[in-house]
Amino acid sequence: MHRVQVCVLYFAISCCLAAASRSVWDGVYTKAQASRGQAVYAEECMKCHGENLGGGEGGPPLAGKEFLEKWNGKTAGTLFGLMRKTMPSDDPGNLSSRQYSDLVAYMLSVNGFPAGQKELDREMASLDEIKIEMKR
Amino acid sequence: MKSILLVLSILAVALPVGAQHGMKNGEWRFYGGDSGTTKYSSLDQINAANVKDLKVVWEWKGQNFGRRPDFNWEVTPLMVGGVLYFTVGTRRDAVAVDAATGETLWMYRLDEGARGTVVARTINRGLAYWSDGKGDDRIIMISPGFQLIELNAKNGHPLTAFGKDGLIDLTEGLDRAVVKPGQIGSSSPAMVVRDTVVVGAALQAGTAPPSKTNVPGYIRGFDVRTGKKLWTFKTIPQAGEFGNQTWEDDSWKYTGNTGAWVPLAADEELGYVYIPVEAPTGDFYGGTRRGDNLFSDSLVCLDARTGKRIWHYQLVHHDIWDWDIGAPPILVDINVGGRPIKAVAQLTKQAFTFVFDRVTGKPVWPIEERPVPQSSTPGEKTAPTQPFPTKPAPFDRQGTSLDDLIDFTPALKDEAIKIASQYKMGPLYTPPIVRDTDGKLAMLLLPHHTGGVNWPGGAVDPETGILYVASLTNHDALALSVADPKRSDMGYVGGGGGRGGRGGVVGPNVNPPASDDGDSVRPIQKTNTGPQGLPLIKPPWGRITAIDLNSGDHLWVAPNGDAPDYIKNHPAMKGIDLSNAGRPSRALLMVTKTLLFAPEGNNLWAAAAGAGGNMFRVLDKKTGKLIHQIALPAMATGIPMTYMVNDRQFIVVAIGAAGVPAELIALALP
Repeated sequence: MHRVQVCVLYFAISCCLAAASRSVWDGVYTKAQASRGQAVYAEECMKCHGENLGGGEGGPPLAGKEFLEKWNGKTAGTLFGLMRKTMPSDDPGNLSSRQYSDLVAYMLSVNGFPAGQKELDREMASLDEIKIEMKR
Repeated sequence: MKSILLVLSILAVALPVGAQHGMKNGEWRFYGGDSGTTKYSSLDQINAANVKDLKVVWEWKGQNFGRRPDFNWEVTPLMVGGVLYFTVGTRRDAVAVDAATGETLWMYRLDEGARGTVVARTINRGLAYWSDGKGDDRIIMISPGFQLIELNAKNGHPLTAFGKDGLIDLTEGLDRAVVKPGQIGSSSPAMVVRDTVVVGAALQAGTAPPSKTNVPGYIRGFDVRTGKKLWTFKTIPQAGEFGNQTWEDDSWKYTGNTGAWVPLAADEELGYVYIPVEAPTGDFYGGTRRGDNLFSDSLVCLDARTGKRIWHYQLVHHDIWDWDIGAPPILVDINVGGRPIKAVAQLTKQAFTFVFDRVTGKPVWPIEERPVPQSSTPGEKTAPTQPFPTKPAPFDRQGTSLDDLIDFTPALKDEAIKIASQYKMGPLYTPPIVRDTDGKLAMLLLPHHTGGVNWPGGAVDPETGILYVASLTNHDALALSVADPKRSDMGYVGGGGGRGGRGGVVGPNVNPPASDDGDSVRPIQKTNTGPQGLPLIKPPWGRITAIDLNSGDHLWVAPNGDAPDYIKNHPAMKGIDLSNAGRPSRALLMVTKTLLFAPEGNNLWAAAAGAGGNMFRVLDKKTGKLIHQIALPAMATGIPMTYMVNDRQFIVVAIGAAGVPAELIALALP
């Protein structure tokens, strides 16, 4: 019994340590993925959020100071989860997980975060490890 | 002789106003009913006594048209010869349906490939129709990729002799070497005036444009038989053209937008077309285009066959509020003080009704240029005055002050004042501010930059000259931010003040509703930014106003249905009378000889949270009182239309909502 409790405690501490262990500055998506995301954006998102993610009549900006201030300290998983739950606004959740992940990659690229060698995952647990930080 | 003149004079005064417009033969040949966009039908089978017996007689489902279902179908079908014609789906396919039964007769799908994938506007409102009266009947469509197509109305086959192999590329001839996919298109149908097809244009919203350089939304006229381009009206005048000097620093060379995205109107007898022109590039910052910017925000009357400008009137000089002309012009013959006038009434986002003699462009009631507040934004140069019509009175709240804030209880009023004090308030045409100027987050814009009115506009009874207007009372927190030079060369862009457009979080204690009503899947929206997630501005949040265009007087104002449930059930609203609060949406008006039809719905994007009720309301034209209401399966998304087939009057309306794919509903008596 005592051993079980120790294991649970160890697991919980591991999870906490694992959470947000990386940041968007660590090259968490690939250029190819952002490019796929750009295509999805143009078809699905641009009409509300504007050509350059600057915001439009139907949606707020997805890039720039205001956007980053809002998301600073949160995780890529939170962003991915919100998008999957609420977007596109007329048909929430009806893009594929890969498309949502590609869109996050595109948003990171437009916001100036560097690309890397590995694609952004589409699993929430993995995405939750990536912290959005305005400054490195 | 004198006595004859006297009799004639009396007759002239006593005769009802002209009924030139309005439908004939129980049909609905234009998007707005007739070319004058009256949305009026003289049909009277459905009346106050029997309207309660209306039943849904057929439904036509659009779910499988387009790559994914459409949920926000702003269409109004045409009805000609017992057949409905309309566009449907995110690919904007054209469909013909039996008007009596809803049976699909034909469909046409244009595969535009990549051109049709990234488009300026996925919204579609419908089609245009032309006939030579001898059996050559044509359907005219503008594709999502901005091509003009004509179809044989009998079978939907494209007419390959039209244009080049049946298509006209509308991205050509716009004074730009390259027009990228998605830069320009049209959500509204073309207007047919005799044998000319007139095409407007819609572009991406200009909240935060990537560049001051954009494609201009020129207006074009084409021969309906051949597709030959007859003329181009340059809404941004080029060197040497009238109005060019209103674009300082050569800004006419690069500025774009200035299209006409709402449906056009026309007087077939005069051969004139009326163009409601939109704002230039940069919805909220005009430092890159100083000057009055003709013909932006102008109502322009053109000879439809030649494109020659007959008259114009600019309704906003140098627009930095996105208060472009967002509603179709409405043509109606009125009688003012015994003087018959062929009039055009132009409703605006900022809640004015401008009324002109549509032959001469002369205002029916004086329009005064009045001084307005000036901008402090670097580089901006506000117009010193703006036009204010002296009559009719505004149909909605204009500008913000503490008197406009909710005051249901002293505590709520205090909270509202605390929230509003973070913002700049002021009269109509107070300019947007740069975020944090003088410690203020943004400027409270009222009406919202989507209006007041928007594309649903109004409807008019040509037999009485009474105009019915549906408007929304909702503010926006509008501020500018310095544009990131990597992403825009505009200098300043909108979206910094608690968000341009929707989705703004304003102030503390924001607890917006998760949806319109408990059972809706509509996503969270943060537009109700007053105390405790309530609206900040006093009700009615949606209203219908009846205006007698013969006198210019308001006759009545009715709320647009009930307040949304989330407000009625809000703990802070306990015991508060909300009977006249109305839904925060623009009713979609249609008027007949007997009744005013006012589904209380709206589209998904240009309204506050809590908009979009499902009730199809039927009102008394004389009083605005509710006669009957019918619960639709979802909210109305298009303006209803009516017609007669086999001695039976039908009413057809498009419905949908987030999670409820678009469909048409047909109502008729048993």
